[in-house]
Amino acid sequence: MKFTCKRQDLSRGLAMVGHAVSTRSTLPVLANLLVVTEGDHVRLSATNLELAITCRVAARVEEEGTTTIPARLLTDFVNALEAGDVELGPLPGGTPGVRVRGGTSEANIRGMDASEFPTIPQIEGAEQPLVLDIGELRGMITQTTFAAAMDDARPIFTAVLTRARDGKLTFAAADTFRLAVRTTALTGDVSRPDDMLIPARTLNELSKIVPPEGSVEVFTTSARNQIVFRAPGLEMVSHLIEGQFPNFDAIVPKTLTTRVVMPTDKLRAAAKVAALFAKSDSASNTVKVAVTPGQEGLTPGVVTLQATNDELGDSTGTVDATVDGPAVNILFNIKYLNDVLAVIDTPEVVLELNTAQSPGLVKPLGNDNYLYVIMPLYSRG
Amino acid sequence: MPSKRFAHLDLDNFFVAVEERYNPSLHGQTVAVGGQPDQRGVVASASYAARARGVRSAMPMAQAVRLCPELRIVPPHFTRYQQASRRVMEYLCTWSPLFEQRSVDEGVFRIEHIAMEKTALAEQIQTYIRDTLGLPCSLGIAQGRATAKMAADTGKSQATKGQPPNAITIVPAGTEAAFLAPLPIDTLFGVGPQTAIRLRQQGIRTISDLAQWNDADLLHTFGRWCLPLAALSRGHDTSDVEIGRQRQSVSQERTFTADITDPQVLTQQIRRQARAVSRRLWTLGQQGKVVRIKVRWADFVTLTRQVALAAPTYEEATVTNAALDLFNTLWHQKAAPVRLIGLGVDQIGELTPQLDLWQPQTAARLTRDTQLAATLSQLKSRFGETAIRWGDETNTSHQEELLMTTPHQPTVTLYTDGACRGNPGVAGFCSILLAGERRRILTGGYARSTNNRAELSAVLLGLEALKMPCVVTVYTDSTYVIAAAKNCRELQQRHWWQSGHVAVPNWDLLERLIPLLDQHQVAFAKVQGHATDQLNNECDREAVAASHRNDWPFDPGYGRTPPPLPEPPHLFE
Repeated sequence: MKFTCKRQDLSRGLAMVGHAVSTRSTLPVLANLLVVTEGDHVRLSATNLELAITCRVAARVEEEGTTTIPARLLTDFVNALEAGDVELGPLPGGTPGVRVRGGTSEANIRGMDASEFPTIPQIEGAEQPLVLDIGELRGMITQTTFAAAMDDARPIFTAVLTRARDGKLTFAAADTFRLAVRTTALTGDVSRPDDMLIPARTLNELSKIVPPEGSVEVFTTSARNQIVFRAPGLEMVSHLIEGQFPNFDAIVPKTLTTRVVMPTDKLRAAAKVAALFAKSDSASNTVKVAVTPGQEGLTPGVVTLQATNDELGDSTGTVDATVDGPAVNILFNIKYLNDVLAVIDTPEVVLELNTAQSPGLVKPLGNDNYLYVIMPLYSRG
Repeated sequence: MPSKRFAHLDLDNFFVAVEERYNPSLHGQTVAVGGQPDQRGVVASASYAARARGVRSAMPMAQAVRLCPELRIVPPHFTRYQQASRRVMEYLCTWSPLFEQRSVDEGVFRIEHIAMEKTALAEQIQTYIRDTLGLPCSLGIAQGRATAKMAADTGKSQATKGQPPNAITIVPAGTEAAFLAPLPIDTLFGVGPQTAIRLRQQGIRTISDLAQWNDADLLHTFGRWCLPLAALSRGHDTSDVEIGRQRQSVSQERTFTADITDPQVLTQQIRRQARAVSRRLWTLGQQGKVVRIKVRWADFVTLTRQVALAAPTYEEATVTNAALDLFNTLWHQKAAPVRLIGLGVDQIGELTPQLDLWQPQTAARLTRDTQLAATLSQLKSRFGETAIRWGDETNTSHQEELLMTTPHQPTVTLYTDGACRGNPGVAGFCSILLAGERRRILTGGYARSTNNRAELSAVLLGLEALKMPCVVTVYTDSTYVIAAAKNCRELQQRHWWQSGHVAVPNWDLLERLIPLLDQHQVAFAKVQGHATDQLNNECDREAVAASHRNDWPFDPGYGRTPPPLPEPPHLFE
């Protein structure tokens, strides 16, 4: 195997596949990436067995071949080179690995035989792919994945439910304490009969490696247990999570008695302050949210966020708000509130509540494509 | 800044003094309050006459009796002590709003606002408590809370042997260092036995020895923890009463009558303690973040292990699982006879459990539970701690349990076996009960059942025949029975569905087994089937014989699936 390519192109490719490199696996070859020459480019692949990333780098191939190289070392080495051409050739004596030459440096990097590398499925879709705008997709990922569960205790909650139906694509994620749902319009008739459970981790990685703009094709394998994302020069394959996501439509409150509209930045600032005090060893990051309606024509409505810590002290944040409906006092885990305020991008935010023990609803004002349901902490008051 | 003054009051020999009020004939006698010597009881409190003979608190009662054969042993009456304590503390509160109860028989309060000569004040308090409440007490007065306590302790220790000390010790402002200087280092507030050893290794024997070290050397030799102690030793006492001091932990521990080697008995004890602690948390309206267990082996080596939970909880199941994990790790390291086991939940704070989107009924349950807790505590404050109890609570409070240890439980050996002609087919089972000299053979069967059901039924047949809580060892050759007994509680928590859709086989029998495991201390032992164990072979013969009868009823539970899992209910139900 021997080829020459631009250092920048190679760096970019290495950075992308690096997201799938597994350094802590019991399978040493997973710390390597697979390099395959293919006519006018080379293919770089890495996998952690849950997800695989493959990207193409334009290259002048002199001698076809394939090998695996420690991903981290090759990446660091190539990044250290000055701009210009990089040449990768075989190690003397046919040992697995590469001799890399660029600028003033040359290195022999030992690798492992390509036959030890897991096969990365080369998939053609069994169906017409969904075509998604990258900007829109990234927005959907940002607004949902944070609500998925971090631990693997209940695998379905580590996934983002994806539903393409009725001309609409829906992403929904929940860790059973809060739920984030984002929708977008789909062009063309691309309904899918089944929901897919895409690991939230997969989507987060995807969001980091897709190009800034353009579009992504999405399709599943015929066995419906893997999903493929394809952008120019880039392909990502991930397993899907099996199981039945609970019915989330049913838990979105339909009638709410108190509606509060506030400037997003004001509420965000108050919530950040509350978080400083809400962190405590014994309590559950509790912030007390008190919604007080104003008097018509006299005073505005007010939302106060109070947090108390036995050792540190306490804080109070006050945000003027338009309040329709009765006063409510409710306890939230401040993290769940902060998480959603970080991804709401409209100038004003809507908070809708019923009672202290029932779920609240957070929405961007004037945008129907997003909602967030947040379950309170039980309060004895 | 006006200087603060603190009075520390300590009820002399509290438990014994209370008992003397109920039984004046005890007065002046060698008396110890505590558990019986033949049940590994411990001395909770000893009269001054007994102390003069060398009897001390926390000493095994058997040892106390050896030192003082005519010792009169009085079982503890904790309700009496609580009532007496409450009356004393209420009286002290009338002197100062800045009052802190430090334990059942100790309280400290600020007195700088009282325009009375301090000795006269102390005498007035002492006289009132002795004449009106019938209890002797000692007081210490000083410029800091800790020094006041040390003053009271010093007064008590200098009293005449064999008599209640009734001491009053006043440390005038500015003389703290001089007062403390000659005292041994282990009397310094905050110095425990381990700290005392470390300090003595560096030649620090008295409080003045410590006062003479400079901070830089202390920091270098011992570390930061030593600096507050040194400041105190020099008379700089900044400690104050802590009003509304937050409870930091809820815990329970138990010393066994006999050392326990069976891990099943120990895990059962942990389950019981987890239940009690979780109830206590709930009654207090608290949740905790850290679960801790304490194990003391027969050789008195004591270890504690703790784990921080992902989220604070009061739930029995979470506490139980965390505690069992800790225990299993400890047991793996040292599987030896255990003398004491304890469980606690630390870092507790107000109970605000996170509600779950798909379990909206939790809020209603919590509200119901909260109301129940409030009612219970009202009842208890009106009618006393023993007015109302949980159905499965024993008649003794956990403190009493600690001293009284376990009541005697009969030991029973159970041999069980099941047989099935065809699987499924006609099932027979047999249970041989051995208790002392007595022996009973029970058999049963079903017209159509399975081998595993027969094995489990044999165990149930034996356990259900027991008429009182027993310590039971079950011998079985069925690996299934042992595994099922181990896992049944967890399976029950999943409502007898595995992975949400596979029914747990024989769930109906396991559901009968769980209360039996709670009621008795059951250990399972595996025997080799059809081998040399005579009783197992006999059991097998009986079971096989039973399986050849044709008059058994049908097994009502065979093939029955557990009730379906509840659907996630609608939010607005």
